[in-house]
Amino acid sequence: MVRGNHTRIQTNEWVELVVSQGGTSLFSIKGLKEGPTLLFDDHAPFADVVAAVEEELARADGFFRGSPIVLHFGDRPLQKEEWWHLKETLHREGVLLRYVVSNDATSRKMLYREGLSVRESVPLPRTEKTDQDPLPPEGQRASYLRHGMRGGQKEVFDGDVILAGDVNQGAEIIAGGDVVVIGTLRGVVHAGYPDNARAVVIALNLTPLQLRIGPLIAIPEEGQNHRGVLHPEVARVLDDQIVIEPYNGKL
Amino acid sequence: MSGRAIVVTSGKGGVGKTTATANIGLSLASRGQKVVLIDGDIGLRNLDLILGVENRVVYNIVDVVSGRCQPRQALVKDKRISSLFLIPASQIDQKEAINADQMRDLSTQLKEEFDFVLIDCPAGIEQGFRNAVAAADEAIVVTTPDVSPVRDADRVIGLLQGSLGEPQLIINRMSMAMVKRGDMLDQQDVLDILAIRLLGIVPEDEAVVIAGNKGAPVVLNGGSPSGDAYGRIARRILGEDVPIPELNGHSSFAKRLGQFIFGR
Repeated sequence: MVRGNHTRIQTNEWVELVVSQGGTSLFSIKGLKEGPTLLFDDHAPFADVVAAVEEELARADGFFRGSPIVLHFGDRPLQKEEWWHLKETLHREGVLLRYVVSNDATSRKMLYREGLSVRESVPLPRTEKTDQDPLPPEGQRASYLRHGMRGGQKEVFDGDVILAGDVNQGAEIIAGGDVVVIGTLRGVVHAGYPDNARAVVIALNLTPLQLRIGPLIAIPEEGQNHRGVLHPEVARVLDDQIVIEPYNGKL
Repeated sequence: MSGRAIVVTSGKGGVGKTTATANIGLSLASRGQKVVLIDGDIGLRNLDLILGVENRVVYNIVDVVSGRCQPRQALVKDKRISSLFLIPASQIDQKEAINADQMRDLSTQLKEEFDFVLIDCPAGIEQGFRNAVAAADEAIVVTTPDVSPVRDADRVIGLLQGSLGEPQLIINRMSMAMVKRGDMLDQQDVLDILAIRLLGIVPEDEAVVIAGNKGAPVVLNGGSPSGDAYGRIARRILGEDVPIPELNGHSSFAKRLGQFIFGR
């Protein structure tokens, strides 16, 4: 059992909680605009870090449950088993992930293959606060995934998501903007999360279990099985309703 | 010599992993390969029964990894084919009795001596699954053409792609009659969703149930449709280019006639 020391740093921009053990810093939690961010020390033994996280989460008593957080692994070369270990802990505490950050290319690849939304660097403490529309201007932030998604995989990105492949049942995409699936969409998609009703969803075959755009949720009728034939369709919000229409190459 | 370690997995239980492992193992062994089967389902030992060697079990995999015996002491020799061996699961321990490193070491050791190390993975995606996968270089995913096994297979394929690359698929218990009636997903539906290489289709076959209860896997009694399908799967694993007859519907009368006339 790790008995961590806690130092709370509060500035105008963020709150920081540093957890350390015997003078060695293990990880810190920053309250950033992206949501609570866990920054891991590059050198502390990972087992200690996970134990400290576990204890901290237990201490927080469900505070992080259900709110997506960001994990920042820094330069640490992360092993898959280490990630699994941490994942188990987070999962047990009901912590959701927004995305993970790593400066180590091998770790990024591993995390990516584990089905996570991975970034190279996180915009650390912002100097100015923006109270405007949290969405970046159209087309300025997109994530392109050159693979399909299988059940249990989740992609969360606060811009547009373009994906070449199928999104299978049990997979989930949450995007701040549009979602374009160059393949068959069978899973769950939330475009325009949380409240951008201007977002659209386009897929070569649009047969999702459930479709969410901004604040609306639609459960499409059981789609026909267009085997081998592509029926590109677009889903958008018209008069407070999600409608699906054929996609003819323009919006 | 370094053999191939292949994990047979599915996510969902009851789709025929253990039966597939036994039959593929027997088929490979009967083609002259030296094969060891590892029962990875610690706590729920089954593979010894399917092979009909339950009375020969002395040591098990937990004894091996905990150093209570040498790996070769735990090897149970098949009673029919002398190049087939089994390392049984423990019936009393928990999945946590073994870790991924120990499984990996055991598999590395066995690969020195065997052409094939086939690991029968427990259902689920927890510790037992991770152990079995850690020991393997390749994976075979077994599913039946039903919606929930297919979804679980999809999940497992996603997990495997992180560590082992793309697995190969066996569709088990395909019932052509139900597909024709539209009551079952057909092979193309399954392949559309899972989108991985098809290793084989095993038809629904009463012989499998009888064989399992008798401890005499179907490949041993020639002429059963499922036994023949496993034989073809083994040949594909060995790199032969064997067509998948089940892919084009069913073995129709005309086709049989053609096979008869043209001798194949």
